[in-house]
Amino acid sequence: MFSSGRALGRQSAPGWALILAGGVAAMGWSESASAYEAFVSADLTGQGYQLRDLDGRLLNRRRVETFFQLYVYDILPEPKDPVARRKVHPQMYLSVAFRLDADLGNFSSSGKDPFLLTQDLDAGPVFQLLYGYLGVTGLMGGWLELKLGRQFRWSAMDAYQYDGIDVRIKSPYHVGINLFGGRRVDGALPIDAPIYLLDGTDTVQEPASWQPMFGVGLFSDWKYLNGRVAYRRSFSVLRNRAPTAPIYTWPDGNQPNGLLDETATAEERVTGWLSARLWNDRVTPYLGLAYSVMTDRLARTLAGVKVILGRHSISAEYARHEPDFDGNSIFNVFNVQPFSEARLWYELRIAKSWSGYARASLRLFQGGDDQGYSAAERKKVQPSPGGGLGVQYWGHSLSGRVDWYWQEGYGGRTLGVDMAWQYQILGPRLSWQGRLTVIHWADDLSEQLHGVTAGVATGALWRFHPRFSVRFIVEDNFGEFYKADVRLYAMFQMNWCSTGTCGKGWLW
Amino acid sequence: MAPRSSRTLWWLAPTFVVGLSFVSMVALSGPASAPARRKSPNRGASTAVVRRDRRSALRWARRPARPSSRRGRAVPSPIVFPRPTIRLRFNHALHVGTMHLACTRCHKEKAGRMTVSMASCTTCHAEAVIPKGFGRAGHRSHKTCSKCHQSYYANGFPRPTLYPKSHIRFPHHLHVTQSGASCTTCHGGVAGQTRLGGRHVPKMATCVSCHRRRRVASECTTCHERRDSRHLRVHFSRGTLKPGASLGLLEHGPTFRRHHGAAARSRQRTCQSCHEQSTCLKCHAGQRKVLSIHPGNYVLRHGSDARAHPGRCQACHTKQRFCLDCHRRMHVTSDHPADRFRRRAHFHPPNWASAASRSLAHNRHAIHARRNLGSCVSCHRQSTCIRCHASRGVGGYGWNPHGPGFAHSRRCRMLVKRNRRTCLKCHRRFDPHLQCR
Repeated sequence: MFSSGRALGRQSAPGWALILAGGVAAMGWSESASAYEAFVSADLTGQGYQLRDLDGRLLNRRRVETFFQLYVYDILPEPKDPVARRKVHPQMYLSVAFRLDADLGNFSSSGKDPFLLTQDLDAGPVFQLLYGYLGVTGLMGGWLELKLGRQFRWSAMDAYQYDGIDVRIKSPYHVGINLFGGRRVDGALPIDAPIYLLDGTDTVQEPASWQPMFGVGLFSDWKYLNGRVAYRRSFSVLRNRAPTAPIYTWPDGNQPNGLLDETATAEERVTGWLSARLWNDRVTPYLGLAYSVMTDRLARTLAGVKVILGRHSISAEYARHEPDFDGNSIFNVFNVQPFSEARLWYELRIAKSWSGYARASLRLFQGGDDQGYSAAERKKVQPSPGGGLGVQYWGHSLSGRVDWYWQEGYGGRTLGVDMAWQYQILGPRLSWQGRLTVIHWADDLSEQLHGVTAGVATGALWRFHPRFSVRFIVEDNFGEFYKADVRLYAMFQMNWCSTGTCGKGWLW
Repeated sequence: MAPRSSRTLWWLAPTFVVGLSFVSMVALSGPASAPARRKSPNRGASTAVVRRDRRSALRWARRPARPSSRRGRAVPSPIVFPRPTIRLRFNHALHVGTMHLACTRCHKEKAGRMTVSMASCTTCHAEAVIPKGFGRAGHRSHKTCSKCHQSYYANGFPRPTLYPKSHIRFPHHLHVTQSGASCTTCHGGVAGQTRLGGRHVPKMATCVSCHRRRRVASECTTCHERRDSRHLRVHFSRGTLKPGASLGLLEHGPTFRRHHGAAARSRQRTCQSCHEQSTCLKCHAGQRKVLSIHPGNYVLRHGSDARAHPGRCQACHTKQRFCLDCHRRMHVTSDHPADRFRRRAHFHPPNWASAASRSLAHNRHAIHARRNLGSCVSCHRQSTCIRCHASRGVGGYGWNPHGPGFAHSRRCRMLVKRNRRTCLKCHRRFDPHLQCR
């Protein structure tokens, strides 16, 4: 299923995966006692399917992906004195996650068809270190925490990945300060993970830059109020380049001459998040803002509240989005109109194992105020309503859900139903999984893109050992465009930990 | 539109039927605990016992024992507190309420659990001793045994009552000796209970509020069983432990997968009680096709969603790299060397873009680019825009994309101050239009 003679250049990923699988399996059966706790998990996923391009050719895609994570806790020895052991004491831990990706078939960079090559994008790393850091807790009586290494953070309304240090200093007053700095991950290193990159730049035309980054944040972890305000700035530094060397070409074929700034700003933003927990968590309002200093725009706003009344919960949310790109991209001057969205959803715990929901949303897109547009396009605001209904059952052996949804307006119309289920045939050991989808959609830009399509996916999850499982899924899509579109999906998963309850029960 | 709508309904109708069938099937199969209750040996055995003990002095014993999880009453999670198999009659109301016996008279803590041994009973009930010759047939109807025991093996021995170990770490002695709490603080309803139920355990909110009031640790890992020193064990034979409504934003309801952003931002540390960072990445890294995220045949119709939900794709996929990589291979980008304009016409409606005309009527792409550039950059790169929008001095057509008032705006000044290199992609170094005012 996954063999391909055309991908010799990139087929190291499955090999690595097998080595890792063997290593983890060996660790799983070893019974050595240790002071620290270790947890290892590895997922090996293979996919095989075909896609039809605009010329009608079928392109083979074979993907093999290994996701590996390793955690080691309590690396430092515990104090022998029982009184000291009860108090906060320094402790160290290690967190590592990396991925090995292999795109085979026609999607491999070693394919002979020149049109299938994506010179700049496909040159990305196959090995991606998602994070790998050493953490120290309990310093200075628990007021200081450190992280050193590659980290990723979802912080307030911001997300970033960097190689560096993160320092958190707490105080007895539920407020702390967070200092961080290092090198922003930008694809310049072979082990970078491109999934975090803010894009918009051409790596063909301009070389990857070195991006130092620093930031400071103030956070509160009070039980009634959780908040964070942070400032972050990353720079784009052109390295190993002569001052007059061009970094891109103009449409006329010439290149900018003269001195270019060696250092420029790639990102600069102030983000904030505030949420409260009122009446024993029954009412939880929240507000998040992300202001891009460089482009002088409020890039993201999110405000909402969730209210829980017995078996009922109601949530209302408002979001405003005006995306910004990397500072090296010209797209920042093109994208000038924000869109906003109001969402409302209601959930009901119908019974112990039953729950249902209804949701509604209204997106508001700005119209074109310039002359030359049609009357419809000149409308000040173009609304896009949507909604959905669903019911979920979560039983001992059977769980499933049915969702109905609808969307209208900008982007087109979508009307569909989705049903997913999992049935335990032999307890947790063997489960039957499936999904059925029927969707009608009509793209608002293209007259050709409309119709009804259906998809069915079914498979089995076999946990042949508390630490190992295999999952097979076959998916087929059909409708007015396809008679058949088969996708095969296989996944091998394993988990192991040195202590705790890992060996006693099912880990997933 | 009418024919298309009717055709849609025709397609959707069977699916609605299938969906409703699924709902009905589950509804008819009863609640999650029904099989365990049906298979319980209590009912048949207890009925027989009641028949034989009709003249027993203990009238309360006629009623079959069963867990007291009645409809409408909050019962503890069967995942954390697995259901007991009760084959015994015991009247707490009589022993505790009327006779005022101390709980510790019968219950002793052993390995973190409050257990009761037969010896506790025989201290008072001298008749509750194993009779001579026990084990032969016929002892099932022994009246003395049947006062308490309800179910028997074929050899006459009573079947044991099973209280599975709860998945909570709760040292009773610490709570009684250090906090001064009594048994009724948590098990208040037991004194009035005439039947064994095993359901008189406090709600999590009771535990948390007491811990907070007394300023003791109230992390998830304080009480819940751990997988390792930092994470809870969440997968059990009875199911998966999930946060309920008492945790507010963290409640894992049916829409949590769609709207968990606020919860993750607000209570990141609580999330980390169960999840590692890699849990987020497995979906947000945007590489794996997850069965429960995108509906079937999503490749065909994802373009419509990408325009309708700008920003949502970005939660898992980078705006440009992920899309452009695949689009180029599928020959749906303008970068393809062969027959570029035919493809553009194939994808975009008429009057989408014209290099020859400045009229917006012939450049309808402008409104979409301003509104949702994320969709554009999934196929196009900077070079596509620069071809026309660069200033005339560098070979472009000079179509100004900045919008009215840009030169006088703070945005202009900030962009120039922070990253002038970007301006030079479309302007010459000494271009008079490059100056902000």
